[in-house]
Amino acid sequence: MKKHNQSQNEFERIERYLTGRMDNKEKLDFEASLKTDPLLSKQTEEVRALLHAIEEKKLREKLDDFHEELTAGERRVMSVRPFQKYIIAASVALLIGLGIWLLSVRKTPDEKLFSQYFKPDPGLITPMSTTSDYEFYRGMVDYKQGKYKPAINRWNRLIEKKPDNDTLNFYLGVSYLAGGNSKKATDFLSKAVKYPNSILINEAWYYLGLAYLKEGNSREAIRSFRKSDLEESKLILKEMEE
Amino acid sequence: MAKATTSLYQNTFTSPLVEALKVNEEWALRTLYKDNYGKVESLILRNSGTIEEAKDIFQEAFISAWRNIKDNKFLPENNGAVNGYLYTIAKNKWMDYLRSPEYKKKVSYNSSNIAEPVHLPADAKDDSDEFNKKLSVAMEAFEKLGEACKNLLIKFYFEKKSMKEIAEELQMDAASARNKKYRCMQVLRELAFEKNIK
Repeated sequence: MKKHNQSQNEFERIERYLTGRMDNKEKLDFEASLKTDPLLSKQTEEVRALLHAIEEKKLREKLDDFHEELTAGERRVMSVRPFQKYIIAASVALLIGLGIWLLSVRKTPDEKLFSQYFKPDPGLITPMSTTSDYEFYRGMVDYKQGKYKPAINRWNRLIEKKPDNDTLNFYLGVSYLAGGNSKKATDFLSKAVKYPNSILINEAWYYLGLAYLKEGNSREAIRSFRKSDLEESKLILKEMEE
Repeated sequence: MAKATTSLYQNTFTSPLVEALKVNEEWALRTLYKDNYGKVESLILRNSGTIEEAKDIFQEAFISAWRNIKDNKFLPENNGAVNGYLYTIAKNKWMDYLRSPEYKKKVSYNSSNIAEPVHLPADAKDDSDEFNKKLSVAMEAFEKLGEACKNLLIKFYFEKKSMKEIAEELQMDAASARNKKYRCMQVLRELAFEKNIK
């Protein structure tokens, strides 16, 4: 059996088909050729298996990581005995005593803790009929679908007009954080925590803490988590103080 | 912002969790794992399984559920539906195992005690055996691939990063990144499907 060479164009055409990046016409043409061209159909099945394999391999690795995190957490919970509280307290004091430099070098565990805890706020319920704040809720729809960039674009236009809106500052911050920009996230969330009467105040401190964690600034992160009443804040503080 | 609009919202769009699962976002995969593992583990422990078996079955079920959500074979309306789906797949897989000759050989077991599998809208075995064979060959081949190619392909196909982002990370232009991806895929294809041709 001879080796079937596949040109870059041929490969990319199959790839476009399998990843849903063809427009309607190209897709119909491709599907027609699939029926008449056994080599193309064989190669398409092969590429499909390869793409599937790459994703599944990586996913299996991740699942083992999650499992590890889960069981590590259980072991830790079971192993905390009363006297250990004093050790924990003592190490917290020691840690604070050692100063900022020590905390700032702990970048990797911070990152890990961040990704373990971070998940975007569920967002606000989008009203179906009111027209006021339309732009804000259009952004919320994008946000809830995980499309952070379009949400950020919409809200950035709004915040120029309403720089003091706690909700806007909060969701812009969380969106930037979800999109990986922790610097921008700390900027907006630092503004969002300036409104003590906001309904999102505990969330705002929590996400500000996470943003600092992502930045590798554990000291500010701890300071922020302490101001939040959320269960998550307490959990993460416990982990950080161990 | 009346509470009543919640359900309307959920019927109009799929949940952010589901959308995020489709593009392999880490927080979504982690949430699905952590929210469901415990329930499946206790089910299996209650039904003559071990912790290791619980982990294996749960992970196989996780992969099936993830695959069917990605392929739109299962269209969950909310997070609760995803969790229920994953649990049911895991339960069915465990029941299948308890009924298998492999298990019966291990212990003498009265199979009439085992519940019938619950019907699911789509199951993991939708793909043909032929495809599954190709898939396992492809996974073996991926192991043999060089680190550079592995990383590149993971960025493209698992992390779903754009050509532009990947080119920037690797400090090359987009056309070279694209060509490199093509060449890595050809190596992988040959390793998987053309190396052992008789």
